[in-house]
Amino acid sequence: MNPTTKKVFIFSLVYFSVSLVVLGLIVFEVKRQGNNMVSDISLINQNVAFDQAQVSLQKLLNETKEDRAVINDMFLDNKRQINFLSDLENTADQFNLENKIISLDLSDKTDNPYQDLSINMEVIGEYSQVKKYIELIELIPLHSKVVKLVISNEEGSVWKAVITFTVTTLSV
Amino acid sequence: MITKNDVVNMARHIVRKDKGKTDRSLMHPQREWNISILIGGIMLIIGITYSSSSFLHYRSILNDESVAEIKTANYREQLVDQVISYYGAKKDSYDHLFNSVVSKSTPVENTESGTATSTATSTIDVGIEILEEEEVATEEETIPDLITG
Repeated sequence: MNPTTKKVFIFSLVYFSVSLVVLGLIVFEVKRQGNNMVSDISLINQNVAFDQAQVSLQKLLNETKEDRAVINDMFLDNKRQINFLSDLENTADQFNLENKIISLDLSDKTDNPYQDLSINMEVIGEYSQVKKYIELIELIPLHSKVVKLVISNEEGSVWKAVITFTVTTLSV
Repeated sequence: MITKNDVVNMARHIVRKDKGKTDRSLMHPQREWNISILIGGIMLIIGITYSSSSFLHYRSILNDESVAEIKTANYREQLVDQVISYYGAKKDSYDHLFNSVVSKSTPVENTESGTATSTATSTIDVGIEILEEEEVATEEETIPDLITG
């Protein structure tokens, strides 16, 4: 083979190989950058979604502030528990009823902030007043439930009611 | 005399000899050039196909505006409204019953009237505390009623 021909042939082979390698590298780089871009876009989308969710949640919190305050007031918080018990007794006094809180029982703490305060109390007095007091207990504007009620005639027109009811407390 | 057959035989002999000639040249510029153009063309087509498919693929990703959905708190407004109206009605009934009983009850001694007043206030506090500024007006309206009653 003519040396010049040989040289041209080898040069062509080397040039072809180098071109192929460079092309392969370019393809590889395009692929890599593309994958990076895809993951970046996915991350950006997630962040955007997170931000949107946060903004909408904040908006929802602002819009529902009053409603949530009303709902929170349907539960006894730590600050109002003692006052609530005093109110029960004072109200019974106002109804001309003898009253005694027999027991109080706060349910065990769970993962949620709600606990049931179980109140067992007895009231003694005229039947109509006892009945109205029980109605009042049922109508307490709190998340409450009358669990047990026993009414018995003590003597003449004097009746005794033993009421067990629960009020849900909210510890924030 | 040369016959027709002799001419044909001579021609055949020449043709056969020509077929037997070997080409000793390794490079054929025309052929190599054509092969190079062919290979270059194939590579160009592959490159165009690959780049266009990549372009279309990544463009579709860029145009894809479907944002990943994150679960947000579901605020059940209707239920909240129902609950609020239910407890509002419960509170009204409570106030009504309480006021009716207290107003009908026999006047208590002066020492107890203080208790009655504070009871009314605190009882209302349990239920109200909700309407913030409005509650003050409600309390002010309710308490004199209880006292006069």
